[in-house]
Amino acid sequence: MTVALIIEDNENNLELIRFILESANYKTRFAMTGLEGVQQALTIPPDFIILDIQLPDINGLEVLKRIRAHPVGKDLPIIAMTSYAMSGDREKLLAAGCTSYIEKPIDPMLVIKQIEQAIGKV
Amino acid sequence: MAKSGLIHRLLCLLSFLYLVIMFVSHAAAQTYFSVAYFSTGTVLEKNLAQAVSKQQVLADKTWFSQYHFSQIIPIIAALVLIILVLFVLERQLKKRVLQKFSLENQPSQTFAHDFKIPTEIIFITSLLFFSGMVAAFNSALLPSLLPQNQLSARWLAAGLFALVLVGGYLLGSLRRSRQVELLISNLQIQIKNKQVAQTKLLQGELRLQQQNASLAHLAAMQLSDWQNPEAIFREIAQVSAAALDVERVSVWRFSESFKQLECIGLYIKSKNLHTVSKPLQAQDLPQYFNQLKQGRVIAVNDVHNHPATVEFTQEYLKDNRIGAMLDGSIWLNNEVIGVICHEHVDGAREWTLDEQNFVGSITDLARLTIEGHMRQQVEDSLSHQQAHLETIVRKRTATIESNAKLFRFLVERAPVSILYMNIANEIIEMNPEAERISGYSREFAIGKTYKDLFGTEQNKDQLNAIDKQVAYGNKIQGEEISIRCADGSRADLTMSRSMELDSDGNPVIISIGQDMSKQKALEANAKKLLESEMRYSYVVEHAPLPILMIDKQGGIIDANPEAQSAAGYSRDEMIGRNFIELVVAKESHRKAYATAARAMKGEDFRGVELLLQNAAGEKIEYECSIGAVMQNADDQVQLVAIALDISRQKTLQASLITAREAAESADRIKSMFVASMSHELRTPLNSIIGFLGVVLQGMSGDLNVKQKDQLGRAYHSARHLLSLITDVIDVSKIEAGFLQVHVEKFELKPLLTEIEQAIHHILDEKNLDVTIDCADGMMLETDRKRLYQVILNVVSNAVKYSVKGNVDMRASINNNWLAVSVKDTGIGIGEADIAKLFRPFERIDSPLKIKTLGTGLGLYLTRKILSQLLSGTIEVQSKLGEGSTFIIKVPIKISNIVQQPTVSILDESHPEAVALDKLNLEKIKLEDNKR
Repeated sequence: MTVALIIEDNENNLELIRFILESANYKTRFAMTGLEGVQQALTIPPDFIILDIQLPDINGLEVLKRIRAHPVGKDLPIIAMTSYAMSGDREKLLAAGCTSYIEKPIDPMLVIKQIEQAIGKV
Repeated sequence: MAKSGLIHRLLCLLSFLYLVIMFVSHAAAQTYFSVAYFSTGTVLEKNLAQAVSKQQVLADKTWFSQYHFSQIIPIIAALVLIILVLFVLERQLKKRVLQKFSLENQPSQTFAHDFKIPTEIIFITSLLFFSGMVAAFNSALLPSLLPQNQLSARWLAAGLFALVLVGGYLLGSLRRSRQVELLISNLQIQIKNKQVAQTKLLQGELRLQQQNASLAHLAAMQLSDWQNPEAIFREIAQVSAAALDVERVSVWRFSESFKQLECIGLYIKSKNLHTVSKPLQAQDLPQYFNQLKQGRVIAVNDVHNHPATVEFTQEYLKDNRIGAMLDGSIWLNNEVIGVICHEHVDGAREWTLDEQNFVGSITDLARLTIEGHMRQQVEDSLSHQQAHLETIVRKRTATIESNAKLFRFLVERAPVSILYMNIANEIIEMNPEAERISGYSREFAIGKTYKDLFGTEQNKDQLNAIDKQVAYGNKIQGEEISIRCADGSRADLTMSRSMELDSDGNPVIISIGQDMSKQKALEANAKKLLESEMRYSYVVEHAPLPILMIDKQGGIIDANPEAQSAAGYSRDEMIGRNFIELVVAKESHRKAYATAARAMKGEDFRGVELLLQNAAGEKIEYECSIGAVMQNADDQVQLVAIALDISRQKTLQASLITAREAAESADRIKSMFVASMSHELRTPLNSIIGFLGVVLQGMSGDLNVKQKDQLGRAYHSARHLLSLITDVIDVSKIEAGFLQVHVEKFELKPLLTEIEQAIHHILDEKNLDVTIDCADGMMLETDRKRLYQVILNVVSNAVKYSVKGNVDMRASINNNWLAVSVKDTGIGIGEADIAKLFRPFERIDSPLKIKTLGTGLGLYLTRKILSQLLSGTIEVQSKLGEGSTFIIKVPIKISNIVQQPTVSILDESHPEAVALDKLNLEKIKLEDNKR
C-alpha cells in the first residue's frame, strides 16, 4: 500500500485530504508542524508527501528545502498544496524541488488524479 | 714616269749612236787596220780593242779561234736570254692591258697601279740588250769584217741582225703596250672622276631634298605657333643642324642699336643641347657686322682665312673647334635684325650653293617667325587694349546706370516731397512723397503751377516772395510753409527751393519739402511712450514683488523698493553690483548664471526656483521670472528679474507631502490588513468547500435528493464567498502595490482555448457558442496568468449576460499592441451605466439581476490588473439590448515594467504578524526593494 505523509496544520483540511486519500486506498500519516514533518519524512520515508505551505513554525518552502537537502528525501515525490496562491509562489516551490502543486480549494474528484499524475511522473 | 721615259729614250739614242760609231770605226779599222780607242770606252770596248789588236796577231788563225767563240757564245746566250725575258715581259704587259680593259667597268677598282717596275725592267732589259748587241758586234762582227772571214762573218752578222730584229720588235711592242696601258689608266681615272662627280651630284640632290623637307617642316611649325618664337628658333637650329650636318647652329638678334648681337638659341648637335652663347659686340667685329649687313649669306670655308671671321677671337674659334661658318642674315623691313650662324667644327668645309640657299631660306623662315610673333604681339595688345576699353566703358555705363538708379531710388523713396519745375513754376515732375503729402496725382499735377496747386490766401505773399528769391538765383532753405492739399486740408512743410541747371543746361527749379505733420505725430507718440513708462515705473515701484533691472554683464541697473527691503540693501548699494553675487545664495549660483546667460539670448524663464540671500545672510527660496527686454536707445539687452517668495509655499507643500505620505501608508496598511484577513477567511472556506464537495460526490455515502440540493446550495454559496474573498485580496494587493508581474513568453491561441475550456460547462448549460478568431503563432511576452484572468473575466461576463447567440473572441496585433475583442449578443449596457461599469461593487440594474451572481469587483479588478500590471487598457462599446464589445489592449512585450514590491507568505516575515506594525512595514519595503 502506498503511504502518504500529510503535513498540514489545519485539522479540517488535514481530515479532508486524509479522507480523500484513504477513500482512494492510500495509507496516510500526518504531521501538524513543519519540523515534525521533516523529521517524519526523513526517518520513516513515505511514498509521497502532501505539503501545506502555511505552517506554524517553518513554512512549506523551508520544509521542502530541508527534505530535499537530505539524501533520503532527495527523490521523494512532494506535492505542495496552498490556498494562498500568489503568482510567483508556484515558481518558487517548483524551483525548490517540489514535484507538483495543487491549489486550494481542492476538488475531491480531481485531487486524486492530480496526485497520481505527480507520483506516476517520478 | 715622264723622266724615266726620257732617260730611256736618251739611252736608246746613245746606244744607237754608239753602235753606229762602232760600225763606222770598225769599217775604218777594217780599211786602215788601225784600231781606234774611244774615250767612252768600257771594259767591253777595251776588250774589243784588245781583241782588235789581237786580231792582227792572230790574223792567220782559223775563224773559230779568230772570232773568240768562247766570248761570243755567252754573249749570244745572254742575248737570247734577254729576248726571252723581253718576250715574257711583253706577254705579261699585254695580258695586263687586256685585264685592264676588262676592268674598265669596275670603277671601284684602284688604278694607282705601280708602273715603275715594268718600266725599269724594260729599260734595263733594253740596255742590256743593246750592250749585248754591242758586245756581240765587238767580238763577232768586227773580226768578221776582216777580209779573210767574209763568209762566216756574214752568217754571224745575219744571225745577230735577226736577234736585233727580234729584240727590237719585242722592245717596240713593250713600249706600245706600256703606252696603251697608260692610256687605259688615264681613261679609267677619268671615268672614276666622272663617277665621283655623279655621286656628288646625287648627294647634292639628296641634300636639297632634305633641306626642302626641313624647310617645309619649319614652315608648318611656324604657322602653328606664333606665340612661342623661342621654340621655333630652337627647332630651326636643330633642323638646320641636321639638314646641313653642322655641329653648332645659333640664332642671334641684333640689339636695337645694332651694337650687339644677342644669342637667342644655340644648338650643339653632338650633345643635342639647346643653350645660349654670350652676346657679340659690334666694336669687336666690325668686319663681320658689316658683312652681315651686305648680303644674305656669308659662306666662310675656312674661318682662319676669311676677312669676315678673322676678327673672331682665337679662343672662340679654337675652343669651339670651329673650322667653317655659314651665316645667314635675317632681314626685316630692309634691316638686318639677326643672323643664323652655322658653324662647322674640326677643319674647313666648302659650302655648296644649295647649302647657302638653304641658309637663305632658313633666315627667311626666321624672319617670318619674328614678323608673325610681332604681329601676334601687336594683335594681342590691341585686343587687350580693346578689352580694357570695353571694361572701362562697361564700368562707366554701370556707374552711370547705378547712379541714375540710385538717384531715381532716392527721389522715389525719399521721405520728402520733391518737385521739378520749369522757370515758369510749372511742375515737370514730382515724387511719390509729394503725391502723398499733397494728395494730387503726378499726372494731374504735371503742367500746373505751384501756386495753382498749393496756393492759399494765407501763403500767397510768401510764395511770391519765394518765387522772386529763386528767380534771382538765391537758395531758399528751411522755409516753413503751410500748403493747400487736394482735399482742401493744410499741410505744414519745411521747404527748400533753388534753381539748378539740368543735364542739358536748361534751368530747372527744384523744390524740396519735408512733411512736418509726421514729426508732430512722432512727438505725440513720444509723449504716449513717456506716459506708458510712467505707468510701468509706478507698477514697478509699488509692486509687492522684488524686481531688479539687470544689464548685460549682470550688474544691477535698478531695484524697486520691494527688492530693496527684501534684500536689505539700499538702491545705491545695489546699483552696479552683480545681482548673482549680491542676492543669490552660493547654492544657486550655478543655476542663476546659466539662467541669466540663456535669458540674455532671448529665452523667457518663469518659475525658476532660486535660493536668495539678503543682507542679513538669511536664505529664502524664491521663484523667479527672468526675461530680456530691449532698450530702444542702444539696443542693449537688459534683464528684468521678478522674484516671488515661495518659502511659505514650500513649507506648506512639504507638510502636504508628509500628510499625503502618511495617508498613503495608512492606506497600504489597510490593504495589508485586508489581504491577511482575506487569507484567514479563505482557509476555513477551503475545508467547507472540500467537505461539501466530498459529501456531494457521494464519497461519504449516498444522499437523498433534498440533501443533495441543499448541500449543493451551500457548496455554491461557499464558492461564491471564496471568489469574493479572492477578488478582495487581489484588489487589496494591487492597491497596496504587492502584486508582481511574472513575464513569460507564450502563444496566445492556446490561452484563448483554455479560457473556452474553462467556461465550457456554462456554455453547454446556456446553449451558447464561443468562436475564437486568432492566428497561430501570436507570441506574447507578458504575465500569462493575469492576462488569462482578465480575458476570462470579460468572457465570463459576456456569457453571464447573454441568453442566446454567441460570444466572439477576436485577437489581432497592431503596432506591438495586442487587441482582444470579446463581442456578445447579450443584454447590452445603457450609456449611463457604462461609466459605472468599472467601479467596485456597482451592480447595474438589469432584467437578469436575479439570475446573475457576481462579486461586483470583476471589471474593477480587470481594469486594475490591466492598467497597473499589464500596462493595458479596456474599452467598451455597447448599446442597451444590442450586446456589448469589450476590447482589451496590452503591449505584446512588457519586459521593462517596473516590478512592484510584493509580500508573500513565503517571505521570512509573515505579513499577518507585521501588518499593523508600521516600522516593520518599512523594513519589508526596504527588503523588497533590495530583492
